[in-house]
Amino acid sequence: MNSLRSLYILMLCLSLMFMGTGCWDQVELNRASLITGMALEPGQNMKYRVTFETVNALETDPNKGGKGGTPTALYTKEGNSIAEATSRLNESLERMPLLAHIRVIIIDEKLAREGINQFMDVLQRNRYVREDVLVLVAKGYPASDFLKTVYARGQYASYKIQTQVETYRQVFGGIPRSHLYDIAQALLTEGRVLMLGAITISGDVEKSESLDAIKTVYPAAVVRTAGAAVFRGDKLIGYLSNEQTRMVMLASDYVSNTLFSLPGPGGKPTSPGAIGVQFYHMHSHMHVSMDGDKPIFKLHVEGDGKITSIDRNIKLTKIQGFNTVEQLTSDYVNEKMQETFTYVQKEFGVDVFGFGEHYYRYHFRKYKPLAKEWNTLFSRADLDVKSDFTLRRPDLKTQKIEKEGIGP
Amino acid sequence: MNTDNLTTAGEELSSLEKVKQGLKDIFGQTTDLAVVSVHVGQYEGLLCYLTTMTSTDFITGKIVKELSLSEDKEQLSKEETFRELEDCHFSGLKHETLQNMEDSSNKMVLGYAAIFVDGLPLVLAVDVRSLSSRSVEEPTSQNVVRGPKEGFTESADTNMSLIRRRFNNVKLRFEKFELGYMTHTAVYIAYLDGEVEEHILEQVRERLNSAYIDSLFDSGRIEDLLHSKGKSMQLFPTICNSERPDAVCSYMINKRIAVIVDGSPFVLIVPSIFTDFFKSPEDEYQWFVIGSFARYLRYFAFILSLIVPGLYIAVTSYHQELIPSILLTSIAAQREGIPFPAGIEILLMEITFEILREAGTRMPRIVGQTISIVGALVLGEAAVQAGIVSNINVIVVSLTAISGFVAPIYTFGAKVRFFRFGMIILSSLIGLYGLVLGCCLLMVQLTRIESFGVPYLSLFSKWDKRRVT
Repeated sequence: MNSLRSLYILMLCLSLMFMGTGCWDQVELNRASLITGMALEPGQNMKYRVTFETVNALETDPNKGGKGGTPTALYTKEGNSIAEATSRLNESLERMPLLAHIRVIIIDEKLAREGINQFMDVLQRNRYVREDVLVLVAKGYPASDFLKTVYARGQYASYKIQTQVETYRQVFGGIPRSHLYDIAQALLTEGRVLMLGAITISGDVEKSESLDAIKTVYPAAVVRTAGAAVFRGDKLIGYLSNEQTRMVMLASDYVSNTLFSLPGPGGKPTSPGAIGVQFYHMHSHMHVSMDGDKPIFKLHVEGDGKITSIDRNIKLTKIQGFNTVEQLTSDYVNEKMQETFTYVQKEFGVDVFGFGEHYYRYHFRKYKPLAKEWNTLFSRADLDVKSDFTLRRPDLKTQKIEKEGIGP
Repeated sequence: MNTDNLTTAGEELSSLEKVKQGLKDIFGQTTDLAVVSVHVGQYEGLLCYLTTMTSTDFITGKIVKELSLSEDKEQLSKEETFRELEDCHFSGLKHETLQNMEDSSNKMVLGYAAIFVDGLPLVLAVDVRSLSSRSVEEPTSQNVVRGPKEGFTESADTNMSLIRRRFNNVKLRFEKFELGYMTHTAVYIAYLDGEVEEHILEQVRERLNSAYIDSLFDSGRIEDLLHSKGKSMQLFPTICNSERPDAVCSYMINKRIAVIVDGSPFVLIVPSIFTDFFKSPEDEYQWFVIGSFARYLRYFAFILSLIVPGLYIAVTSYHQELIPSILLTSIAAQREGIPFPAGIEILLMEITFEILREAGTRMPRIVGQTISIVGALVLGEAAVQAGIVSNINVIVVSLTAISGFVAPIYTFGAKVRFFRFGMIILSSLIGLYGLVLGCCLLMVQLTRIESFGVPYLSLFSKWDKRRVT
């Protein structure tokens, strides 16, 4: 009897719980719309102009193929804050927006020059925006144009951009890590400034908005990576090219897989006799010391790799051949690294490499008085690069296929 | 009543006429009662038995022949003739000497033949029970690929012999009980003396003795009686069953008691714990790695069948951020245009599946083809094509359906299928929180129930002295 009564009470409580609060946050999937990309631009009437990319799920389904519509639809809203623009999205959209699946946030160049701190908070505060969402800077084109470039794989543009950036970083290393948490980390770190990935468009954006653009073999417009956007504090000050970005990332030990095209005897990459070497394990170590008021940076780069192409005949049957190529690689990397370093010193005068961060971590007491003027010190610092590359295999051929020649 | 019987004992057996009258009073007009006049030694006698409990061959070959042999002997007194019969002629058969009509009739119901001698107040009851029963066949619901193919039958005698021939051991004991005040069904417990714990044995005996039911046709009926009393309800089965003698014997080695019910091919195992329901005898007959893998697979399938539909509902209608984007767009594309919310959709298909399963079990064998065509094609394909349910829903329901049947003990799978509905409702109302809540409730239940004093999760939990009853 007693247990029966407690069972009744339990059931009463449960039914109260269900009837009182059940289903309150239910969002049925076919009454919701995924937001996959966001482009932030300065507004005309209000502070911001935000473009949202919403997915038309049926069109992205590879099995059903959809009805030939576009995989995404873009909605643009203006607001005095990003949150306002987001909540006004339903002025045009009929479904509940799901923010959790945002892939990329693209920041317009103009906004970036004004400073990104003003709107980063809403992205970091929101529980539905993931910490690993990509934040990229639109170079040379309005940010919303990037979401307008459809591509042939049928998925939405931001998915393409995200995968492209991640893959490019893994294969070549020519774009910095620019997730949402990297921004927070860079803004809070001493002795290293923020770098975000930059993307640009090659082709005609106007044509690319229609699906007809991908019915040709050569897409009308393609989103392309464009190296790194360099910030001073939270304001954009300039760009580095893909190759320069790679060197910077290599110095900070973020590149593990890349390919160098070593110039031939002419000294240019286009001159005949060039060699291609690919590295798949790369590491770099920094060392920072002060010589009076002039910092001395030492960088040691090492890597394991293989030879992918040789234009002139170097015999790889002997160890001598490998040594030659390794030496050539070392010289090339040292030179390029030095070039990039000087370029950054002259053009920007900010420490994108993270030498200051290294000094801060390993010699805190020495760094502390220099913290304020570190970027000035960086501009007149000396870099000493040493590299040590090991080529493990020549792939399938030990020798370039060539007639040996008969007779004298 | 008893005292009455004793005083009238001599009275009702005093003459053959009175015996006939007495039998008629007890058995009435039943046609299978055979009352045959015979000569017992030099005296008149009666041979009475129920034709439905024996065979003619047995009666003529064993009883009538012996009785006619006894005629040729020299003159003996009635008493001596009776002893002669008991000690020489029927010594090879199971027999008893009775002294009144009621005992004799009760014995006749069990398949004994009663031999009355004119004027002697003693009855010789000889076991002539010979019944046709199903021969030993392969088990139908608990199959193995490698291992003995014998399964229990409906005859308790056969079943006991199947166990005994696996245990050539003097310690094997059978004890008999009678349950059902209308049917007097024989129930046997089998155990290895010295191996089983005495207090568990005592509890089983006590519960079987105190059971008060009218009839008993299958061992499933006494599962409830054997459950621990005085505790709140038990959601999980605490009594395991098997129709494989090798499985039962392997349980008995592990200090368990087998309960055999006459008329049921399913032998009960007490006490049973959670892990027993995931064991198949085959696990021990093959390489241990494969056996263990299969066993872990069953645990995994159990968890799958419990939570997959609930998880699907919770994730697609409350926590879309938990799914990878590509998968979510794929699910969203399939859900596009489906009129029902995910919870209703899943419930719809789960109930459809339950109906299909029930129809598949109950229908006559001959129409079996029809069900599979209608079930698989019409319901599966057509429902998706018509846009009533989504593809992913069909995948989820089929995955859970298949996982639900992996448990080797059918009754366990049946209960899990039932809990699944609870999980579906909970998670469609309050999302992942409900699913976790449901799992917690089941866990609470799992940890608190016990089977004959043995904690249900014994193999996973630490031994607690205080719990020993």
